[in-house]
Amino acid sequence: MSEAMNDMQTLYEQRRLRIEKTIALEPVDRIPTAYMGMAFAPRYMGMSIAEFCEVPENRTDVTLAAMDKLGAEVWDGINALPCGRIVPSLTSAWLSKIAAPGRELPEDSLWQVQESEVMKPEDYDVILEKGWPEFVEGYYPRVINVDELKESRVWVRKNLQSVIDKCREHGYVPISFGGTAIPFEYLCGGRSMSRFYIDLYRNKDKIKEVMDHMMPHMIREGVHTAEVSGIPAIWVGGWRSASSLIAPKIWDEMVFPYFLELTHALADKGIVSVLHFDQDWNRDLERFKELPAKMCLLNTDGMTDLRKVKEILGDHMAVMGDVPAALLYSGTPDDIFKYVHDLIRDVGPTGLILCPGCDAPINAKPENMEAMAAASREYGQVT
Amino acid sequence: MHLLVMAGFLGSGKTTAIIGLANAVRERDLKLAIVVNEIGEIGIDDQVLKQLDHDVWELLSGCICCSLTGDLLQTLDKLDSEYDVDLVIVEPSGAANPQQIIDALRLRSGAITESILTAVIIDPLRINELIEILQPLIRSQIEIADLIIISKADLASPGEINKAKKTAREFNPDAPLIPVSLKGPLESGLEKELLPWLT
Repeated sequence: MSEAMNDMQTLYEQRRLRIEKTIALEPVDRIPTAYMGMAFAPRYMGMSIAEFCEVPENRTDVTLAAMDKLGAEVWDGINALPCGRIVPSLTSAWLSKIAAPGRELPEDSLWQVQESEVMKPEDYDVILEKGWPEFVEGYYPRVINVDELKESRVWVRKNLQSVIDKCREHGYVPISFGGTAIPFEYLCGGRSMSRFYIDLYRNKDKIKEVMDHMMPHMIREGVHTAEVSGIPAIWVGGWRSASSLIAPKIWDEMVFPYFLELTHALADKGIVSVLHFDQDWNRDLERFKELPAKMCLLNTDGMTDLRKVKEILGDHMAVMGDVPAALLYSGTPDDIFKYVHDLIRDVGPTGLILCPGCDAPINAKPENMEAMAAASREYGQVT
Repeated sequence: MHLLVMAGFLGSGKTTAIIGLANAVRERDLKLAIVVNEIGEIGIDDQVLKQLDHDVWELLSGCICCSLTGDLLQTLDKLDSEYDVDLVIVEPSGAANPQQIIDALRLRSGAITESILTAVIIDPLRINELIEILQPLIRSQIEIADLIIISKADLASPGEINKAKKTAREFNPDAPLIPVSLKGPLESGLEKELLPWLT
């Protein structure tokens, strides 16, 4: 092994340990910084979004190149491993059709979730009758070309290790790979938001039965994904089940018990849940104390109050966030510096991974992303 | 440039109200743009508005939340600098928290917005079930409103209208509250409340 490779290996291990310690709420020498900016990377590197989406290698290579360009010394890790084509993976997460750039949308447009009622009310019974795995495999043709989905899965299986190796060669630690969610999110995506919420009012018992049936599969999927990649953390999504949307009674019954079961089951297998929670979850932060201690990483988008999180959950779980997407577009580098400074001062130095929240958007100003990297250099040093 | 954020859950009558308002604005020879997002089947509304020859701008969002506000700001900047519009009506998704939008609008550094008005439309026929499931969202939509519109006044019973009024007042005791049918041309009283800068 060359000296340069040896150095990179050492750096990678330092960064991996730093992230591990942060999640375990142990002291660190500097606050780790993670990249998250799926669509920002190609725009920053001058590649069309269509090219980025269509060629799986592009997603990996362009993301890593963008990180290098922003400042290779800054990034300890990347929030989610950039592996495989985006549209098939988003389709699996949302159970909705995704309009793709270069196909249904202009070449350089952002992909778009096309929310509509794809899953029908009678499908609740089909799930119970056939089981979730069989149902969902039969459901995919409604939202995606199945050959394309299969091809995408084969590519990921074949190339997963080489993508992980590429990240390692660049010195960037993949914080998580793959994802799962609670049944609420999948059903809400498939049924469409408005219809699912009305279903909850009119047919709650049936939906609960379906969710209870689905839950073991969600857990199995999470554990399997972590085992395959060897990355001991899974992205666990929460968007439409947020506290700022759902009434407490419904949340207590149809949302939280499933997060509880999922995160504990993953923790039992040594897998960290990266709780990618969009929207505002402030109301229920006290409840998060029931989630497994030091085995969750709360990844928010700027709407949940991280100071409140620190106060309530400071000795229970670490956070990853939360330079807001809107600020990355409309703010100035000075705004970003101030945001990062205040965030580190108030929420650090332990239990914080600095990251865009939830994702650097396609139109983030390059100078603002560069400012985030620079602010991390300036304020992130602890010892 | 004046901004009107029109909130309300899907099916409450937002698009109908916007069409009425757009027609009224057009009659006055003012430049109008309507900004919609695609979350929550608004694509259907978008087509309706486009067929009526209104200038509709769609927001694209990679995921439900964060990209949306950035895209909204970029769209507003463009409308402001390149199209010189008088009024922009922002129709967020039925599940959007308008506070998120107002917070984002505050980030528009340097841009001049002459006025921002937030209106919420409440469907009196569905308010019970929506509150049961989505109380925090409905509450925040009402709380932040400068104007509360109770739609479908021609279809709802007096009891349903009263229930909707009571709910609205519980969360927002001060904003003007107007029950309307939204069928046909926009009522002049509603037009004045939605476009106070015209008078």
